[in-house]
Amino acid sequence: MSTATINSWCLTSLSQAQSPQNKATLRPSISARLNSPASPAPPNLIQNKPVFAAPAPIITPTWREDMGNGSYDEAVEGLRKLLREKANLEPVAAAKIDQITAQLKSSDGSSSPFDPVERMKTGFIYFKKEKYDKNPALHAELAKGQSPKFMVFACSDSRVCPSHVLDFQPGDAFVVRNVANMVPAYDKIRYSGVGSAVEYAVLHLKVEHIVVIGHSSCGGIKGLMSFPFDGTSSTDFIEDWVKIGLPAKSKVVAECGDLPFPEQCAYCEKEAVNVSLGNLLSYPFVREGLVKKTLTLKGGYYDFVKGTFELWGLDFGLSPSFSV
Amino acid sequence: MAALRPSSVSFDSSVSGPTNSFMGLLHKSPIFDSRKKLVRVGETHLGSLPSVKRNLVSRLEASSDSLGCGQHLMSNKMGNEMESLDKTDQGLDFFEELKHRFLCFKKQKYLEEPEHFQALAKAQSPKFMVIACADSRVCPSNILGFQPGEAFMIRNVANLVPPVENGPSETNAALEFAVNTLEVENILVIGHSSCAGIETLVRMRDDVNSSSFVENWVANGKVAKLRTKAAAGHLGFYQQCKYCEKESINHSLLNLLTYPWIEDRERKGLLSIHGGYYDFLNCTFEKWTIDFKRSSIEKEGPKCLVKNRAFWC
Repeated sequence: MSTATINSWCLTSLSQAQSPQNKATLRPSISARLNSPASPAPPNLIQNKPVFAAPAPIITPTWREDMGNGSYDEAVEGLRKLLREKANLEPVAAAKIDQITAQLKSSDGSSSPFDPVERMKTGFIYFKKEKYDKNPALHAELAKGQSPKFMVFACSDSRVCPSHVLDFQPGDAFVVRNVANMVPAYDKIRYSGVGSAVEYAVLHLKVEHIVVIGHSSCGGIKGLMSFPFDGTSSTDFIEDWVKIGLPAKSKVVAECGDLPFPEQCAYCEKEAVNVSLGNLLSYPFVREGLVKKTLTLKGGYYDFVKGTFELWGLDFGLSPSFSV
Repeated sequence: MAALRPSSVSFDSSVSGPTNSFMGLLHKSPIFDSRKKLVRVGETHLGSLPSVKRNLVSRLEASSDSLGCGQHLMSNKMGNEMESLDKTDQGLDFFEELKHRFLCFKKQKYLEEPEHFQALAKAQSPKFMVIACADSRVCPSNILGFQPGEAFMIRNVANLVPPVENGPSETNAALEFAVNTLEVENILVIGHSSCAGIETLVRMRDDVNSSSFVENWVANGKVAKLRTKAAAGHLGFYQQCKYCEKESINHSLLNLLTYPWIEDRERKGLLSIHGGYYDFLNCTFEKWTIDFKRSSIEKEGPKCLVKNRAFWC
């Protein structure tokens, strides 16, 4: 559903049917993933064609138990060995191996296996030394309480954290992150998660701005545009969640249905932000804040392909009444 | 329903903020074109990094240089200058502030590593899924230094994970995506000190149906509250809260295991589940990992047994 499984196959994922016992940090996959005719083509591929464009049978690696245990050098060697056995793929694969190796070396100088705990510890120690200890006054204030001016809805996508994209420091923004940065309409039973965040931010923290930020290449929106929503369901929970954005899909299909799928997704990413802004209006305390002008609603769109950020506002008001 | 209609309102800095209009009119406002005072609304967006002209209002002048990031809001905290701002300027101020923030990011991160960001633009392959509180003080990108592409993140009130039997929610939709599609290797639930959501949970009455969203949501942590009352009910309120903050993390970790595809991957060693607790009073971080083989979720009582405890300070 996301571009991830298709594009990062060379690093992480295998075909869904396979479950190797142990995955090494780097798992070069050599199985070609073909799109089924029913689903639309994914908007992004590393190249604009499947890497192994062999019409011949899909290559599935025969995994040995120990294949995933070693370093990436061993993994690459294993791949090379397998390809020697399938000589017709060698030129294509060789080019890909060089590309993968270069990418991996450039992103991670060492070839030691990834240690998540060490990664977290390094990050925390850096934060403590470079941020916390260097701003004692700020953090002393924050320890007593928070008073952020912003409430931000952002996608859970690892590439769009508002702390990076909008440089939010501790104390700046109350941030909710979920798939496709959706805000559902007021529903105390079904959507108490989002509702509790909005309620707390508006009534208790008294934030001044609520910003809903969408982004490019959103897997959740792509799912929204792809799923049929005809009563069948291929996921346990994802379809149920992204269906909040169905009004956006309807509008995009009606107005831009002739455009290529990736462009429709891009329109839907922005239109879904507007649907979320509209849903925010279903919360009475939000409406009240807007009318009293203690609160503003904003929509945003971060395009990480182009490196751009768009921002727009929702105006809400009640015109003076008159009676006849 | 509001229609998305870019309106061609143009204004300069002498005019008050975006014009008020009637219900639900969406308009695009100018951003990121600091070279012109008179800006046309429309499809304006930042295409490349312009030379940024100092066009910031007084409260941002605490910045040491034209792209001084991270310090500008300290002046807000210190001086409460926001209250003295004229309301009519707030619309423009908001856009200016966000523009400034985005340009900081673009200059200091995005343009510094173009190849990395190009690769990320094609695909993400984070190794972590993080569930953290929405609290403004505890963003994992700050406290654990997660960089773009490293962590798929859910943030909700009190970093709660409801069990599978509660039905669909935003938390389990994200879990499903992270585990089944992105195939993350680590799930980390991070709680923190002085969590208002947990405080509400400990404080609230259990026998009354609540009309508040927050109480309805934090009721997902009721089991943690019961365990807290049983083990620490004799302690003071704030100590009970602290106990409950950690107990709630463990309860969320066990709730993760109620999802069959999570339990399956844990059992196969493809996935590790960690808990973390950030104390921002002392700036310490505790971390532990579920010992899957020894934990259980039988009906007699869920047990969360852990290993590899660490304490960083």
